[in-house]
Amino acid sequence: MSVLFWITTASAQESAFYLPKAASTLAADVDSTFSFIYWCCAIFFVALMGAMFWFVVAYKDKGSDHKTLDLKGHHTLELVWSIFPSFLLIAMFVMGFQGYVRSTISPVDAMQVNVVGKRWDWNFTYPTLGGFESRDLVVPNTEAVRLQMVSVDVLHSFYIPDFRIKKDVLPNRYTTQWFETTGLFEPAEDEKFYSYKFTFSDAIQSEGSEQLFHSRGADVKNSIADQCKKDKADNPSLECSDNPDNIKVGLHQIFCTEYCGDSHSRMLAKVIVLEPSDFNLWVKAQNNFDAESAFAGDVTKLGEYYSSKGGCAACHSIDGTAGTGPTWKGLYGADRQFADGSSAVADDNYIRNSVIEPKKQVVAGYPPNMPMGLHKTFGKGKEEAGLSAIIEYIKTLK
Amino acid sequence: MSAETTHHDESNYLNASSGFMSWFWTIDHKRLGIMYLATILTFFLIGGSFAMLVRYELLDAAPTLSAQNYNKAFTLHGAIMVFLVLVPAIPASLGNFLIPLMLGAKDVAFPKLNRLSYHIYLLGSIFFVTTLVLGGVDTGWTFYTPYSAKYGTNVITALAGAFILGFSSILTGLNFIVTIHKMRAPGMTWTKMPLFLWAMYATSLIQVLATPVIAVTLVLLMVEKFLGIGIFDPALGGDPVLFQHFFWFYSHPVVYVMILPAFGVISETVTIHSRKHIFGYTAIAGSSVAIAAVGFLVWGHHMFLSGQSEAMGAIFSFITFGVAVPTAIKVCSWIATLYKGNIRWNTVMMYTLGFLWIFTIGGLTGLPLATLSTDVHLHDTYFVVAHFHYTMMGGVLFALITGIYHWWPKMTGKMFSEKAGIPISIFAFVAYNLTFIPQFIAGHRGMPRRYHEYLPQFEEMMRLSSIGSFLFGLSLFLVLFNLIHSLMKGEKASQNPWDGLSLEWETATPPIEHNFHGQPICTVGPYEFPDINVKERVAAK
Repeated sequence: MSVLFWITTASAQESAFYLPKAASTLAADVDSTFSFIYWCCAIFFVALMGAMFWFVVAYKDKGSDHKTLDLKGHHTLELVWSIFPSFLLIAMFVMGFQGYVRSTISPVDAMQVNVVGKRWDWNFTYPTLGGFESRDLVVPNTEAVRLQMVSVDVLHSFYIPDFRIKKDVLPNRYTTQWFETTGLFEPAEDEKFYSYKFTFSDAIQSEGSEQLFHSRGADVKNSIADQCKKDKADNPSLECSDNPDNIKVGLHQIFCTEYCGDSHSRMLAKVIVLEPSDFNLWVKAQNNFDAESAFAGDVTKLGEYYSSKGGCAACHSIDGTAGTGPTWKGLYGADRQFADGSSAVADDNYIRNSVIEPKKQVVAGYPPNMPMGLHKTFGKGKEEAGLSAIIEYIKTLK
Repeated sequence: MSAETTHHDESNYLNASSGFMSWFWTIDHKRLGIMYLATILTFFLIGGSFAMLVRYELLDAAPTLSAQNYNKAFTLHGAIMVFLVLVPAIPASLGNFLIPLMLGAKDVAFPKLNRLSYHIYLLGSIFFVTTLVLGGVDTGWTFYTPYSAKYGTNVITALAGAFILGFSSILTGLNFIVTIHKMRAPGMTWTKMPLFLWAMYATSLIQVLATPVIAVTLVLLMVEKFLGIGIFDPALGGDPVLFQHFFWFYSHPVVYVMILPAFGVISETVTIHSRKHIFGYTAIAGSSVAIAAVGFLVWGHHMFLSGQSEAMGAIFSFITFGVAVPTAIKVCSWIATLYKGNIRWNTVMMYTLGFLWIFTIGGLTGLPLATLSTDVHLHDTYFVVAHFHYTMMGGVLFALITGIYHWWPKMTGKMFSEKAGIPISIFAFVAYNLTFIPQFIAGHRGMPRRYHEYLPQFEEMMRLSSIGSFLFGLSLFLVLFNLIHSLMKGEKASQNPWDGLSLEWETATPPIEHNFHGQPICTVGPYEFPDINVKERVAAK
């Protein structure tokens, strides 16, 4: 037994081949349990298969008159291989149960983030920090975070391999999960972190797929640096970095692991871990964020911002590829054929109605999947501004 | 034995009558077994083609197929393989063919019921495949609500197909239970039954008890759809997790419907081809029944993360470890059976060893999934995919091939080429492991399942797996060619080519239409081979 534990600890050090990086307080616990089971299995496997191959070679057919051993059973042996593994199994159960209890019960002072799963993107809101929304899960390093999760449509499952956490997200009640990061894991040069159709400035279209984008948190870094500049103007002695390149972030991939339809494999998001001081600046920047002034004069960026906020990009491409909904490329001014046989020209009113009451005019060949009233997701009092920004944005997509 | 050889000129079950109807409307359990085998292998070919399509798509991280087509492909692969292939694979084909022969009976207890269950299977499978294709079902074989009920795919007709198939399964199970209880040859006590029959008995019990649950689920779905009473749909106040409980209460025991018959086949081949008495007969027979019983109480281990209560998770985890013990006993007993035997290195033994290797990996990799904290990380990743392919698919398929080769002479009257059979078996074994070991690695590195495109860091392992799967597909065609070659050019098989003692070897090869001329009498146990040196007896203490 002690030998097993020794091997377990030794192997945990070089576990990179087996497991992703261990970036939360729960990960070390899961990894040592995994290693313990792994080595138990390895030893049993070698013993069983070793015996099997030994017997098969040693007792290879020696002709039909060769006599075999009369052995119908062996009570002691049978008891040994029934009872000895049972102890190991109980040890595995106890280790797993304890780890599970730790991963289930979150510390009372954990910061709450609300997670909404929607086909096919994740949305994060920070109810105790001002209620703003984020497309990435931005969290402070070494502080407990409690996720309260719900789905607006079907089952999803929220998975962060680096944290060893996963929990189903249900449409009819909250499920919760907590974690605490153990450091800023700066990604290697070639590591990529993906989001689905994430149309913000730092998103780079991946070479492999037309609709997956990878990014390394540049937008978060920029907003921290901007906030730092503003704060420094008021208080020059403030210690923060106004150069985005000097801000350190840890990055981790989020997956959906419960099948949820066509773009299940693209329902990706990322965790961005910040030093607590940077996190506070980021929170401040989010609360002060005003899209109209941030993107003043740049209608493309403003439209992009609202289309990202409303989740439009999850179904409507801007490059001409057909998604769950029709592409926006070349949409403005085009003739639309509807499922009921009627047709219309896509003008400002058509686009406005399609956002507010999408089921009235469904383009032929597409499922009537778009939810009603998505303009409400632009924010309170921002509905009209968002609608017109999106219309102007679509006009630019020729 | 001597009584049979004098009749060698007379007709056998294959040539006693001819014409389409003489097969289609037969009540001969042997012909039904052969027809089941042919039908199941046809569906295996279809399900396997979809597997190849899935693996082709996953060669590269970037998609080749559209997401919709990929999702339909893996749904068809999973649903066809589980409901049409794996569930009936061994029981309906080898079970039908062998149970009466092994019992020394002339047929099953209810031959017409047996014919009916084949026809229901045929009807059900056609209905099921049609509804999957026409309904564009893309939910995966688990049909989870609310997705399956919401987005155009029709879960009700799909489950209706599973329900029709389930009927066939219940009737077969019922038939086998009665047959094994009432039609054993004189002298064949329960402890003198070949272990294949014990496995089939345990399997039949599960089929009869678990399958009605799918009907209950179907009724509830229909009540919800047509009467608007909320059961699974959260919009009506229902709970989608309840569907998972129903689904797995049926589908988990069904996993044992697949694997227990495989255990039965291996218990036969490992003894006959090593000329040894089985090690621990009672333990193996008893553990089949124990697995069948405990298998009803572990469905919740599919749902540790579903939002079911943590206390339930802990209970299900504990009981799941309980299944590991009888399974370990079986594997240890089979390997101990080889000790000081006189082991034939033939095709049947190669597949038997292949099964032991594959099933041991499948069983051991179940442990981190039964453990709560590690399952959190591994759940719904490729680790699970690899685990259940090692148990359900690798285990069942290698045992099915073992059984087909082992009883091939009895079924067809022809021997097959060992010269080709052995290298093909090694090729199939290597290709199989090349397919699924990389999936374990991708899985514990965090690759989720049912992904149509995936992140570049998983490409290496996914590509290895795809290459392995193409080779494995090729190896199965080679198995088929070897068997077809045997049918066309194989040497005539003797009545008892492997020197077996169970009663199916006591009749002509191929068997006559009504199996035995007189009533065979069971005098020795099925594993008391004359090769055993009884003087050297090691006391069972």
